[in-house]
Amino acid sequence: MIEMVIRTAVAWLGLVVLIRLSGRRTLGEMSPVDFVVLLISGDMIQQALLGEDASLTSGFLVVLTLLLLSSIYAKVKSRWPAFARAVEGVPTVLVRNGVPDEEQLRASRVAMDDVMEALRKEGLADLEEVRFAVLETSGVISVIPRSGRAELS
Amino acid sequence: MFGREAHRSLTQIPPSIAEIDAQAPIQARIWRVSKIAWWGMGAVLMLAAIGLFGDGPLAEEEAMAGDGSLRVTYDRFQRADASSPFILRTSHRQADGNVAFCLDRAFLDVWQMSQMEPSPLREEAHGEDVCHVIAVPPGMPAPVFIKFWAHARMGSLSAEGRLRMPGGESVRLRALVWP
Repeated sequence: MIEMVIRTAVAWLGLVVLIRLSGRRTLGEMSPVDFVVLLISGDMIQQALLGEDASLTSGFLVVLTLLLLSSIYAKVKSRWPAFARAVEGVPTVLVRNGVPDEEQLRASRVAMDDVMEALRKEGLADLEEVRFAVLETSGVISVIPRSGRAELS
Repeated sequence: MFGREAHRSLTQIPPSIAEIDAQAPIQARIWRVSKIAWWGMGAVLMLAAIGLFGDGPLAEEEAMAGDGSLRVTYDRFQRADASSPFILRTSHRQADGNVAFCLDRAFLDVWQMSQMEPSPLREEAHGEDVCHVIAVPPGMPAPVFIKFWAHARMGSLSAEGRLRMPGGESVRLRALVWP
């Protein structure tokens, strides 16, 4: 049983590192491609964790280990914000005053289509209406409209 | 007046955004690390393709008994709980024409045999060793090839064991076992 707990911990750590390294966009709203990758990854790891052991006890033990690990991680994050920044990164400004920052877009591998989609969700149709568009560490793009937008409309 | 205020509101950066700008070097460092990691991931895949984790030319290993009675081809890199082939080649037959080979205790402790071709006629205990006897048709030309699959048990990064023909010198097999 201890082996299963260790395997779960190692798998969790390995997946966290891989997903973090693969880039922030994987974590936000999933595209069909991201969904397929995560689906298959989950299935592959599940076999490595449990093997031929299909008992309910083992399943719960794995889940318990994962919950404990994520709680520890949340605690560490809240206690040492510098650690969280180093691991999870910081938000990135993609658009300033209606002008896209091409360098940041390229570095964070975000397409303008994704930015425009985020705008439309906020009820905006034109990039000119945007004061800031920020790629959050969660992978979501938050949009701050220009302050005069309400008055203009 | 309104125009000047509007211009100031555009040029003035809110504190939350200024904080993000101040932390930009952290994100730039993370992107640099990510880029290195992608190359690393690509390298791991390339190494996997050539056998770093088994099943490839880099993993192929051949070991021979000191007296030449047995030659074994196997993977020096294996994965825990994954079957790996062992190919035995020998020209030595027993008096009854059958071929036998023995696995020592160390081998049995770290590897678990799952399948053998051709199927063994019987298994015999010789002290702590286990010997497999395989029937060989009388007219079959030498050498005889025997293939079996075994998976290394989880728990150790290295596996070591010996195989031998009855009465012959042993072949030492060593493998690195990835978890």
